[in-house]
Amino acid sequence: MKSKAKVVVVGGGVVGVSALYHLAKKGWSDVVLIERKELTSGSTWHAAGLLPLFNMSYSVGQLHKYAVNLYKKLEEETGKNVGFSAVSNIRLASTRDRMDEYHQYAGVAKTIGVDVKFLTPQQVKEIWPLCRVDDLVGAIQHPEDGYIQPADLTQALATGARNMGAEIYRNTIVLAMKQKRDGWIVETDKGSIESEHVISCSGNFARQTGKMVGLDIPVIPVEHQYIVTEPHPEILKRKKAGLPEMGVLRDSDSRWYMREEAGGLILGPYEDGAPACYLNGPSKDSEFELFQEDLDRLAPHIEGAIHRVPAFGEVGVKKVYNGAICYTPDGNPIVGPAWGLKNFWINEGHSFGITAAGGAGWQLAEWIIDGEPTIDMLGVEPRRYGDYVTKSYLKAKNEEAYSHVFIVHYPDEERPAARPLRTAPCYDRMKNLGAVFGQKFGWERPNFFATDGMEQKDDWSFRRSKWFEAIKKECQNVKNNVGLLDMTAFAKSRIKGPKAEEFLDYLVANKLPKKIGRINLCHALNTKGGVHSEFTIMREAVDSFYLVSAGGNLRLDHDWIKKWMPTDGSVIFEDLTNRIGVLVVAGPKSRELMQKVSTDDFSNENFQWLTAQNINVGYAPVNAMRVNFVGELGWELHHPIEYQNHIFDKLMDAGRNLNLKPFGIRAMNSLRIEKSYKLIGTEMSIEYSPYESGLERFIHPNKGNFIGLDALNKWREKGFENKLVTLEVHNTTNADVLGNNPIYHNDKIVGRATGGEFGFRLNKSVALAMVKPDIGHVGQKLKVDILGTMHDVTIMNESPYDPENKLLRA
Amino acid sequence: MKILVAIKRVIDYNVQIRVKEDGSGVVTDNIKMSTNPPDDNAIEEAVKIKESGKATEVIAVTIGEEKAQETLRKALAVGADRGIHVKVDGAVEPLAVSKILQKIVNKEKPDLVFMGKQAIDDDCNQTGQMLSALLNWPQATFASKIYFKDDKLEVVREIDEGLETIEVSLPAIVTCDLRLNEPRYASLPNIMKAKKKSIEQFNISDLGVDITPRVQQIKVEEPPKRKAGIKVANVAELVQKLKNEAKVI
Repeated sequence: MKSKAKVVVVGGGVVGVSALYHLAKKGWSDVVLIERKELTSGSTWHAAGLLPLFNMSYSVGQLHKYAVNLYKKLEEETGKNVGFSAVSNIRLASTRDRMDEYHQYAGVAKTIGVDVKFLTPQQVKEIWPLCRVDDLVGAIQHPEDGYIQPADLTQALATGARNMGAEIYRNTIVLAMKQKRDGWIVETDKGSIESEHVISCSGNFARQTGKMVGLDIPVIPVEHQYIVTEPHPEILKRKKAGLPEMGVLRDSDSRWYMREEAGGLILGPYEDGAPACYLNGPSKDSEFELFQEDLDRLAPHIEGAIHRVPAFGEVGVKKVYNGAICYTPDGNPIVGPAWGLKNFWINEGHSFGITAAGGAGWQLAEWIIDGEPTIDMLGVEPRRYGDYVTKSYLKAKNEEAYSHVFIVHYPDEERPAARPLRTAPCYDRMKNLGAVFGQKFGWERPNFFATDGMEQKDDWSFRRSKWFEAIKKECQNVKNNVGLLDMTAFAKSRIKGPKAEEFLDYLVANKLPKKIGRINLCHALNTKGGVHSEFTIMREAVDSFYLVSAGGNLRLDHDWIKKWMPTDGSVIFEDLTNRIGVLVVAGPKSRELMQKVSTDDFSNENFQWLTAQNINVGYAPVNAMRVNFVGELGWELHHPIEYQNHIFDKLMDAGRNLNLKPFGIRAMNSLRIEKSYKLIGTEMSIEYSPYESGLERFIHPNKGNFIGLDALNKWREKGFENKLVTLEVHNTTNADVLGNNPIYHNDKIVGRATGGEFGFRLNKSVALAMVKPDIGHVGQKLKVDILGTMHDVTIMNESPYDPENKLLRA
Repeated sequence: MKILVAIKRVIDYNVQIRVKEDGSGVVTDNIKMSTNPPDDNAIEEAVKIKESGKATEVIAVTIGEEKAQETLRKALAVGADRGIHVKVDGAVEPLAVSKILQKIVNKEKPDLVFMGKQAIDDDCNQTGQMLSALLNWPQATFASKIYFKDDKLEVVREIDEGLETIEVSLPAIVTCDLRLNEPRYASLPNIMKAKKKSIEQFNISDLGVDITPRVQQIKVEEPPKRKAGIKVANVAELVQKLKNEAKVI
């Protein structure tokens, strides 16, 4: 065994071997993999080997697409057959909502470049004669999709990696991992290896591996069963006649997949009540392990399968596999750098590991070797979770994620398990005012308010639903009077010290606020010049800054700061998130409101836009920041969290005659789109330069060096491929742009929408979109696909509502 | 004619057996369990006899913990008519099993008792023989073929020397070999239907059988690990090693 290597990969399932393969392929041949037993002996060996391209996420979708293309070429490269059966994949729909989901998904697929066909029930019957189709609405088909032999795939990747110089040590147990300067010492039962990087790919052992380095990796597996039948005469007859395999069939509404296997059928349902397993990790001797089957749990899905494919009930059950599949709370894997550690990488929580392994290894190799991935990895980012993810939370959420695999993925879906968990002090008050909550980073946030007899319950849809009327009232009240929004979930921090200014100036592309009390919107770029994080920065003192960023990106943003921060004590970072609450007042009457609850002076002369002051509300101390995300006169009131209800009550009391009403996140989204305000993960991402995202006025390439500047300059010389535009969507009736909708010009895709909503102040359906720059001028007419229907769109001026920010400055 | 088939729930034959760290037994928690494979042959044979019209009822009996019912359900799904579950926690030795089965036989009065030739977990190969002695019935062990001849049974037995054909009069005990037949797989509708078939439950106290273990288990150990093999360069070297090192030729 080597005593030194550039990278040690821990775990020899398909995920780990793919990571090894991609590192070697990218030129790092001095890499090793350590596997405690045999390759694939954890979960890979019992995987059904499906390669579903279907995924609602733009980033995960790209990883899957890459993997399918790679696996096709692997035999040619390694000489090892991987059993790739490109038999296609058909997903059935029995309801209109399901078809809406497929149309929305098809948009994602088209913008990624994945081939999707819509099928009529009759076309399904032609491909799958054993399938009953009379009660179907339709279906989609991925012609390139199919299945693969997971163990053969793993061996082929291993051969490929070994051919390029990588080494694999089987039957070797990692006992401990210790950070040594920037690198690691990996201790095994066969000796120690010193390495620059470690990648954790340990599957069912993820939490144990994490524990060795002090990480709480949010992965717990869930039991999944699939049933294999003996051969069916009809299928054998098809084989004899030389007919093609019928393809992987997915009945989403009955929640199962089915495919041919050796003349018989495989059925894999995603049922309710499947238990999490290995809560404290598998046994140290565990290998090729299966659990007791439980067919009772599957009964409704088995009945559904026999209804859909009667042949399935006509033959005997040869075997039932019940094995562990890793899960995370949202069902997406965890791929990327660990937080708080140097050169420790996580590639865990893969519930569709066979499909995801290829893309995850590819992006990780880029991330490790080039310093950044090329694809926006927010959907699989390890730092998308926080400390709120306890073991019991994981158990509840992962079981939920498993049972939700086949549910309709509504864009406004809010899952119920493990809630409420984190609540702002005003939670009960908001609830009594009709709040219907969503969850972000564990926090309960009002999404909208059910008033005037509306049931206090969410109503998910791809189209305008019940809450459309609710947010209309909220938006109009913000426009005409004044609204109150709880933004306690914001990530808040303080950066201070003698070198705070120097460090922050290097971290972000905008100039820092000079005067004490001034506020600037600043963007931290990654080293390739893409947009990594957005911070609202307020200078509190000469050497102290207050930073606010998106609540969901707390760990990501704060880890980014700490990664670049000098370690000599000249800069001190303090997370204030759980100590400070935020209530936002916005609307033309907000000045009058503030004047009623405070003895301080809120006149425009004394309290200008983009400034902050320490004031009192009632008896409470408040840091009032004159900014907001909705484009009206208003203040964000940042306060020590224990005063929140005092402030809340004072505002509501004083606001009674001003028509002060609470509003929620969904109204905020409509209001921000009318202002062309951008969000990280949609309009801003590492895939786009800040110029493409319309952030010119926040970028100062001549201010001095900052992270990403060189790359940004080079990018600009090369030319930009995208431009963020604001669109008016014409002739909408009951649906607006949701994001990821393809944009067409002369029947060619020229971009994709990043977000949309009806704008009640403009009385227009509005969308934001990334399009090719040459067609990105105001007045340009294009088309957008909303749930399968083409709509005319026209590019508007940026910030079509109050383009000169007169209201903000009033 | 009534056939009673005794079946046992064991760790699935595909599972990699792990010995508990304290050496007190093997790990069974959340491990996949299934029917002892030759017991599947016993059930299959009984169901086939019933399908041929020679038997009127097939009763499956098992002894074990609550979950042993899953094993009975499987037998019911492939054609057994009803089940009997004798509830016992922990291991039961072959003599106690035979005494329990004796009670059930006295109650049900079957014409034939089938079971697997031995269980793959303890490999005892004793229960059929002991039951035969307790009931004073003829026994036909390791059956690989069974024929009805008037009121008698002709059984082909697999023995070390080859095949032995014997004749037994009824009632009789038959223990089944893996080559007796090819057990069928239950279809899912039959698995669902099996849930509705009756399973009668007895507690060990209801039967008045003393199941106190007679054998003291001292230690359970894993078999010694196989050493890695070596590659030889040619046939000559192989022959030389087999002769001089392995001393097998």
